[in-house]
Amino acid sequence: MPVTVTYTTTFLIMAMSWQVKLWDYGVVSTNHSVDKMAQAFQTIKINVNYSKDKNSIKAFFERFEDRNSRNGEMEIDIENDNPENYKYLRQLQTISNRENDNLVIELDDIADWEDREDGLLHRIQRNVRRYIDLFYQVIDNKDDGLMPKPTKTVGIEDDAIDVLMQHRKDRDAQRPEGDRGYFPATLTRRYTLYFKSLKDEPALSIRKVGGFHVGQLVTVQGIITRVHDVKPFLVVAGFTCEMCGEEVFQEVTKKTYHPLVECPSENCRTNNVRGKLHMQTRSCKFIPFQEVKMQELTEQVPVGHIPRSMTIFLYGPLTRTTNPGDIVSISGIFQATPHQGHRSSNTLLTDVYLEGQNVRQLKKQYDKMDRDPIIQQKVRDLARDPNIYTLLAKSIAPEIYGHEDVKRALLLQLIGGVTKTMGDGMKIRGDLNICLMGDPGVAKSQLLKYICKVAPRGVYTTGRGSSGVGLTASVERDPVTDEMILEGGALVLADNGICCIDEFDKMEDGDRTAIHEVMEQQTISISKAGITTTLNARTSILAAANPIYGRYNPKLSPTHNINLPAALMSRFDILFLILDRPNFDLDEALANHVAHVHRKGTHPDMDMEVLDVNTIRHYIAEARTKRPIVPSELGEYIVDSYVKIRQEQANEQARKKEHSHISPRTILAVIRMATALARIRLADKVERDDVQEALRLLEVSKDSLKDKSDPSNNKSSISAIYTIINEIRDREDNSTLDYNQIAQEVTSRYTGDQLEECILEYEKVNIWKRNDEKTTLTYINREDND
Amino acid sequence: MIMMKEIKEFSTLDYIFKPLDAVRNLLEKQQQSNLIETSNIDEFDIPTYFKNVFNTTEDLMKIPSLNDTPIFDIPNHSLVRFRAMIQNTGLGHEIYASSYETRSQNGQKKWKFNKYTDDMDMDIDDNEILDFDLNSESSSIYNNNQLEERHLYYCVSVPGETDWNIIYFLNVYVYAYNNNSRRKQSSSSTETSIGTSIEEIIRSTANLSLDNDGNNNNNNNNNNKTTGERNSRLLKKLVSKYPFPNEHHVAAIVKIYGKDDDILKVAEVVEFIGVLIHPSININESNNNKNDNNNLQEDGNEFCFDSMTISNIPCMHSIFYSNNNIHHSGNPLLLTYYNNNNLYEVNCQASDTRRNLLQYIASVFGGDEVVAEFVLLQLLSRVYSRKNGLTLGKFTLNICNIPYIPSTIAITSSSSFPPSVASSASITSSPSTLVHTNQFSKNVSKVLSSILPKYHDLPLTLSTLNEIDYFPNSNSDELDSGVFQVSKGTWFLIDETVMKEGKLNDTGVRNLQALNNLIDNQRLLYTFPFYDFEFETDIGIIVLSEAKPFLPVDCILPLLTNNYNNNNYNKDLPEEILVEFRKYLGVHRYIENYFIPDDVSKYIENQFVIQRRNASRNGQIFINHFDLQLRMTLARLVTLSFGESKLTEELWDYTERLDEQRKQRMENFEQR
Repeated sequence: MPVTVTYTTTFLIMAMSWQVKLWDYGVVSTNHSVDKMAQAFQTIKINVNYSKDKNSIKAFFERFEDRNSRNGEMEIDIENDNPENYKYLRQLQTISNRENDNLVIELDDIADWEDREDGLLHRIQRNVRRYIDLFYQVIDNKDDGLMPKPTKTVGIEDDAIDVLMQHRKDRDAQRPEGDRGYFPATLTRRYTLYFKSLKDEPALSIRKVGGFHVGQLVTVQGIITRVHDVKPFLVVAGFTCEMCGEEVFQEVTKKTYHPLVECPSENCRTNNVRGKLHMQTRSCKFIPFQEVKMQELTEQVPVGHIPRSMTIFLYGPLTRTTNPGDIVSISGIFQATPHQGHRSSNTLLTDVYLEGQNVRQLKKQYDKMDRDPIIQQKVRDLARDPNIYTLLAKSIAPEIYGHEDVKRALLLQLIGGVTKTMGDGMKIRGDLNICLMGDPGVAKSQLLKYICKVAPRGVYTTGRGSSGVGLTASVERDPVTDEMILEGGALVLADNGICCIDEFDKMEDGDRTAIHEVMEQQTISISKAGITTTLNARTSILAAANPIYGRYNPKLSPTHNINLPAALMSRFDILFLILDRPNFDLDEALANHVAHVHRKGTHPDMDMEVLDVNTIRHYIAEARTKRPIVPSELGEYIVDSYVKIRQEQANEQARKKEHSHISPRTILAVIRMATALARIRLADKVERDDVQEALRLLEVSKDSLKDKSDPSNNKSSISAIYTIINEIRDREDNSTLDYNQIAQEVTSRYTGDQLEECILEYEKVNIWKRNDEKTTLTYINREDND
Repeated sequence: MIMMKEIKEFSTLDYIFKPLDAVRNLLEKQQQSNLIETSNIDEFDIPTYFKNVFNTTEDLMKIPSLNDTPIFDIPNHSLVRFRAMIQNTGLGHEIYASSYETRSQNGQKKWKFNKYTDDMDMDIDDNEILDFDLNSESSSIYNNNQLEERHLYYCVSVPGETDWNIIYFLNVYVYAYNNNSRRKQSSSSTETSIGTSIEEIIRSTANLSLDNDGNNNNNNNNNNKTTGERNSRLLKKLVSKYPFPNEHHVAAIVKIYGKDDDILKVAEVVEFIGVLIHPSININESNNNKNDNNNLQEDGNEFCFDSMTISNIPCMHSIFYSNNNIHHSGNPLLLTYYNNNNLYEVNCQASDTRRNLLQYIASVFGGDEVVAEFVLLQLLSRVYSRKNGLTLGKFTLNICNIPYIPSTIAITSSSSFPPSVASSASITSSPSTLVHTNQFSKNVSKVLSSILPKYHDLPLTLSTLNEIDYFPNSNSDELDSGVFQVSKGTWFLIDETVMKEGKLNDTGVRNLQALNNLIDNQRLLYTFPFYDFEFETDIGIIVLSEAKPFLPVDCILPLLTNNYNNNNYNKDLPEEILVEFRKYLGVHRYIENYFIPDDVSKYIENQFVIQRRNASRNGQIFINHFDLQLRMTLARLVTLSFGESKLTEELWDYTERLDEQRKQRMENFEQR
């Protein structure tokens, strides 16, 4: 509802200087040198027949039917001129009934209605201000206006202007015909007319809008950075003459105006008195006005540049439609007013602003990334690539060599599983937690930092100093080493993000226990000073820890090396142990990698192009929109696998070689990883392969703890398998063994990988040889062996 | 009849002092001879024309420079040079009318040219009226050709330029000026400037506004207060736009014409040549009335870009600009150097210069040659490749075990102070200025600034961390600068020895994050209300600390304190030798064609594998891939430092020996 009369004394507009307006170009100029300019401006002759256009506008109003009604009701009664069939007449009726106060003319409709190039549509787009005026004129025309009579009684909603109008009418009736003063239509208008730009009109970035666009309807896109208070904006100023009592109205169309001083009425003129005019706030019309500042979006700014911003004026119903932080596309009239600065005395400079016509909210929230069509397309193309999983995994921290399974797991963490909320409000977390453990200098921190960079809300912190939540911290001197330490938490918990905690083992026990809750329940409970509350902390945790004595001690068991309580360990879905030990092939490959990077300034050619961070981020965002389900037939498979793992664990326990505890949490971890894998494929259903890959990753992570952690252990598994095979050989008394038989016997206790490893190991030292089909295993030089 | 003006030939000086007249004349001449369509006025390429007029360095140097001439010594509307760093490209654009037509009373039409100025042509006769006719026969009614945009950039004089660098530019300028006796007034003013301290020549714009404040304040009482407030507000704004707080600088709004405005980026160093517009001095008189009436409105307009800021600092309409490599490196000596193309000469002397330079650097580190070597390598480092998140070439060096020597105590003995004494010593200078207080750092800083083109102190104290913004940030429309918003190839000497225990506030934590990000990735985040923008930087950083630093540096090297001897510090080297050093650093840092031959690459790989195996056998700590990466970086710098571009096995061994020495020291230092 338009604010017509307000009793505020804050006039946004103050008398300032002379104004000359140029409707047709939106150029408004001010002050002294301008009166010369003004004469020039007024000489403009435009070869447009406005009265013809008026007719076509009128025809448009009266004849335009929107497609729906056209299709639906055409056959029923074609002759009936029911205004209900005409979209805009219908709208006008609602306005007349005071059910609506804005009239939005969609340019698409005009385009539909007339097919000509360079026709009305074109002229409207180029010269919006003028055409808004023309539209108003057509609708409000005294003799054949389009505004219908109200079909309902509106008496209850009488407001000040109705009273005033009635008063005016009564008075006018008593006066002779020619004496009626100028009475602006704006004063009684109860609606605002807006144009809505074409649907397929591209939204420009602020820096693309230039002098060429002045006066045109443009659509710009950006983020709202500031919103001004809504203020009343004077549209029509009403004055009363102190001599003759005549009411005089003055239309204000710009930010500044010069109030009338002398009464222009016939009465005063004939009497030759200079009637003084006084402004009557009650008879003025105000509309809400809001100034908004829009800034360019990140992707609109060329590299190495600072974003630009633009002022947007919103009037009437458009006010209060935006909030700071909203990403919107606003179409409006690009207008220029002469520079109001101190140098404006003699210049042809202009300040520019956009007069809003239509506001479209693009995003409700910022954390949903804005995706431009190019990247969108790229993501779609990528999704079709069957290798996408490997490709994405390889693109994670490409500067770090190797660790492919770790990277795979990290990728799954970035994507995450599906968080489910049960009917009773219980939540099953979908976020994956990963712990990386290993010797110093194996790029754990690098991996953490990379993840932080990719994750939309990543927080990186080191355990040694994460004492609380907040942004305050202190610098302290370590009493022993004299080193300066950053103490206290620069940690703001990353809700809906990933929290990377380096040096997890060095965290205070008390702080670590707080993390237990976060990791499983995804909340933080605070009960302090009489306040008991639970905060959301829907975050995945990526922790990195060093073995207890800095380096991994092969002589100790893994549990002794890892200085973390089992309760915490089980909360990590996957735990990787990364050790730094000399290995000829790996070292050489690594040296080669580093040398290549420094020689060529780029990574060595991998099998595929590495994706850049931005693409990965967009892909992940896309993947996260999917909510794949686990089909029931897969449930059985998962259960079977779980039972098998438990069985293995029981065996291990029996042999007192337990390394990691397999708990019911493991089954959840498998499901989470499998759903994340399905998300990577942008699929809606988890497949068997996904579960298998999840199980494989789990296996790998277990192996990293089991085998490589302890060379003797590793050897023992190989030699144990060797012993088993030897037993088979002795039993069969044959130098050529059936591979299937071996596999059957070995895999009851060991994995296929371990068997493979064992076979390869002894193949190297020429103990045995497999045939090409890998069906038989033949001992070489059996005689020598014996 | 058109008044046929005599088209006179313009001399270079006329172009300097009346560039706009020259342009107008030129256009008129064109019009008369070719009868070119006036609407095609833009087709006349003014920048190219000016480039041709000033195509030699010597001619260019005749143009007065904003960097070293007080602004009011240069007449309004004359051509100036401005060597500047772009601080903000986000000011947007101005829409202006590039040309307009006037009509005298007898109907005579005349085209006026309106580029490169904020003011309309002064000589409109009274009997001429403006004819801003957008509907001339040739153009359609929708043709807004005459409304064009120009882009506004906020520029500041290059932050961190060292004294010798400034003097160098100054000397060139004076040389050019003295050759030419016609402009006595200007040359005399510059001469006096040279007589006084450099400090005064680089008179800051901020000072200028203060002066105005003093001059104009005596209007009336009413305005006194508001103008005073305004001016202090303005001053604050100006100060916040320069990376280093409270330091003198020159600032100007540069208006750039043409569509290709994306070429110039933030934090780039550019030399602009264009038309100077003085800041409006008489703000108070002409606008008081307006302002008073306008108060309410102005309050309503609090989000508008404050036009006051624009009109109170000098403005320059750029005709053309140069942003070549010389300005990136910031080393003016390369200017003549590249012209003369004597790469060979410098290369021949490389090992000699290297030795002398090492000695010079070592003198300030108590003769520690290893430290000097690493410092030298650091000075040669730059980011040379950035791909897929890799930042190659960055090398942040830390030298620890640095003694704290309070600068208040005169250094007489050669003994070093134990750290405990040092930390208790008081710091005398004001806390939030970026000047070293540790005498040791001061000495190092003196040496560095004598050989580097762009350098600045950065003592890491709690107060500087908490009070000064290190990263550029924007709360509303304007972008405030931060310490690290400097051009590529600027060095900072960070002094951790002055750090004390205490609380960091929000700014402090953010600053440290910015610093860490800078050291890790050579990237700097500019923060905006709803999101951040990342910019690539190439800032050299050397950290001095007592113990191991808490900044994530690439390489830590302890100083051997036992032979620290302050007397060794060679304070005054002859200028020629310093020039030699500067050239050496400038040239060798930019050797482009560095490469590692395949056999050397193989050699490195083998060495790495063997070393790891040996270390594993002997139970030593083995080198990992970070060590290898560091050594690869060092090897490149070592190669460059010898003036070579090809890595050889000898150079690799040299690098390894150097790094072994460092590791040895580290072990000793940690066991201590």
